[in-house]
Amino acid sequence: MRDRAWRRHIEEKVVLSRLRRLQNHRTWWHVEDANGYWLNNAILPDHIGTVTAHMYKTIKTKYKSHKNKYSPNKTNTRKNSCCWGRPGETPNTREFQTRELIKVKQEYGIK
Amino acid sequence: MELNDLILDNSADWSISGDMLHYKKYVKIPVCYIDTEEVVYVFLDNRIKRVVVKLVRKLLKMGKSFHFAYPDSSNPAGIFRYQNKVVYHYLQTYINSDFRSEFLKMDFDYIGNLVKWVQKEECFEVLKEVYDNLKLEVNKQSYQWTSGKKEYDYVEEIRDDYNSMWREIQINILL
Repeated sequence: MRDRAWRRHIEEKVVLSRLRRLQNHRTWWHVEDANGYWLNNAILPDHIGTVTAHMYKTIKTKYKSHKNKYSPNKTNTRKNSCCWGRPGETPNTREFQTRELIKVKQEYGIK
Repeated sequence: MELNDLILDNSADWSISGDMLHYKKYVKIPVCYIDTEEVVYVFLDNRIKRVVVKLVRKLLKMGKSFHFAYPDSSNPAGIFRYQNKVVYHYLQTYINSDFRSEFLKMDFDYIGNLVKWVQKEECFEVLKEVYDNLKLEVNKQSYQWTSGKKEYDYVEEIRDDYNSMWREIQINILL
């Protein structure tokens, strides 16, 4: 289920939520759209492809050369960050279960 | 010709709603529409550069007549003074965006296309007015006291291209 298409879909959702927030903040500001026009009341599509793309897109920078794959269990979401320490250590997650399975397999000498 | 013929690939990003072809990039962005005279109007939008360039290449292959439109004209609110806006958008994207280099690569006569549209709409005065206004912006310069040199907002190549564009327009009109 969690293939490339799913990750792309989730990334789109994240970008759109950030765009919505950006749009709410800047309703009364003049915004330059991708075509070089200054707009008074910009709507959501006007922010796409602008110079300020780094504010809503997860991009590579010179400090960070890779882009993380989105995974709800690995990222530091509210669910994972409360009491289980590092993300990915929550027992009912896929990452935790695979680690456990590998340990069991190693005990029985399968892997 | 139908809008279905202009879809470039089999992805789910393409959709037709109303009389327009849309491409999805986070939201649905209008790509083109077909006029009653079977002329295709492509929106010259920087948000979907790659798609527009591919579509122009396809239209050139098909041998269909087409013109460009500014993105706001997909919206009924943006139709006011459309001749000024279309001419301004043609010239402005020629200066600023990467479309210029892409069209040069495929040997597409961009200015010839603009002149055809102007002749069709009979708005030569508008073209002259917009061209002169933009010329001031292109040749804008400032003196740098630290280096003691003049600095231009635009690169020399674009400035030369733009200043010689009027001659090209007149030749196109004569032909």
